[in-house]
Amino acid sequence: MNHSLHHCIRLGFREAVVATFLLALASPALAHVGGGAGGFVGGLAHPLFGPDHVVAMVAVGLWGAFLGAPAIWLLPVVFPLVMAAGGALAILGMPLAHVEIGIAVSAIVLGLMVALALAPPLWIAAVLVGAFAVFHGHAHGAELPVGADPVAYALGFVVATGALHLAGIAFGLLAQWPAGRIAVRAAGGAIALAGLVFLHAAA
Amino acid sequence: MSGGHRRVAAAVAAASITSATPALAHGSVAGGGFLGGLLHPFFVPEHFLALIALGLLIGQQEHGRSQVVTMFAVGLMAGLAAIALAAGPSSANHVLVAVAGVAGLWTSAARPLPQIAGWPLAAVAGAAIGLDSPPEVASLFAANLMLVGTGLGALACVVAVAALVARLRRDWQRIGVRVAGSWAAAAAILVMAARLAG
Repeated sequence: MNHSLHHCIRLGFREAVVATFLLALASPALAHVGGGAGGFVGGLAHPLFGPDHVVAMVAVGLWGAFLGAPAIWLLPVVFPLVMAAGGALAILGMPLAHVEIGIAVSAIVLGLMVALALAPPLWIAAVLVGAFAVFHGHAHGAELPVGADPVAYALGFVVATGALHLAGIAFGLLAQWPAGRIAVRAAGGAIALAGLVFLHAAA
Repeated sequence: MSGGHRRVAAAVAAASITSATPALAHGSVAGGGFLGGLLHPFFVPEHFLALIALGLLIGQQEHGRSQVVTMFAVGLMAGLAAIALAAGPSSANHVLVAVAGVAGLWTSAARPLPQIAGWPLAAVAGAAIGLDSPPEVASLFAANLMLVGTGLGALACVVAVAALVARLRRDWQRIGVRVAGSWAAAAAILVMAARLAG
């Protein structure tokens, strides 16, 4: 088993090294600035500066980990796509009512799902998360900075969102232990409370 | 690591070690020439996005990877030849974003890629890379060197990513590939919307 584990670590390490080389080569493209707050770094930072976005994205990952397979990977695969669709709506000038309220409600609902350890059928979870993804995407799309390089910015913003999901999943994996399960559910409760604060601010 | 994989990793490592100081603008990649061409696909976000997405898709497939890469190379040579023969501006840049979107979506779905879809997708991607890589140097010799470099750089990127992904056999790694595909598709959707909005 130690040999297998060592082999797996080496296998992953080699791939990580090659991937890092590719990313290093791409850093000029990803850093491309089109005047103003553009580029990969700008896109990366955007979701991180909105606490309402941050808590909801983490909650998606938490809930996915809580639900287990296949939700644990289905939600991070589907969410960016639906979020991009919401962003596209905003960029194309299609309005969506009560976006900030929808974002706050997403934190409340997703947080409560985790806090109360609710596990609906997968299709219900996917529809719920998808609906909230549209609101988040619409908000991000409406805030796309003028002059930003769209490819680099979009990549940065999508990667940051995915990273928040992964952070939620990583924390959610603690639920496999009794004490971890309590911590995860407490985190869900905290997210729901934060959502109430955001809702009060948005209303 | 097999001999083939060592060569891929060595090629990528050599490219990274010899890369010049990063340029911040499209038109001044390492002063042009062969090296400028080699690095060109890494300096243009649309090219890089399409190459990564295509590489993910090819690597994810169980069969027919080499044929799809061959079609990419054929398209690439055709596109570069057209540019060498002074082909004018085209919508190749938009095509690349669309290719990234399609390849990313297919990767996120983790479905087998039939020949009837994979070959044209790869060929179109290669041709678009070529057509969107007009060399911006003074002499004809330097321009041709740059085109050769661009071709090799683009092909190396796709092969490296595909080889990397093909080696990932564990469930969580395969899921990671699907997530990366969805990220590429999501970015492409946003970019296409931004371009449609003008």
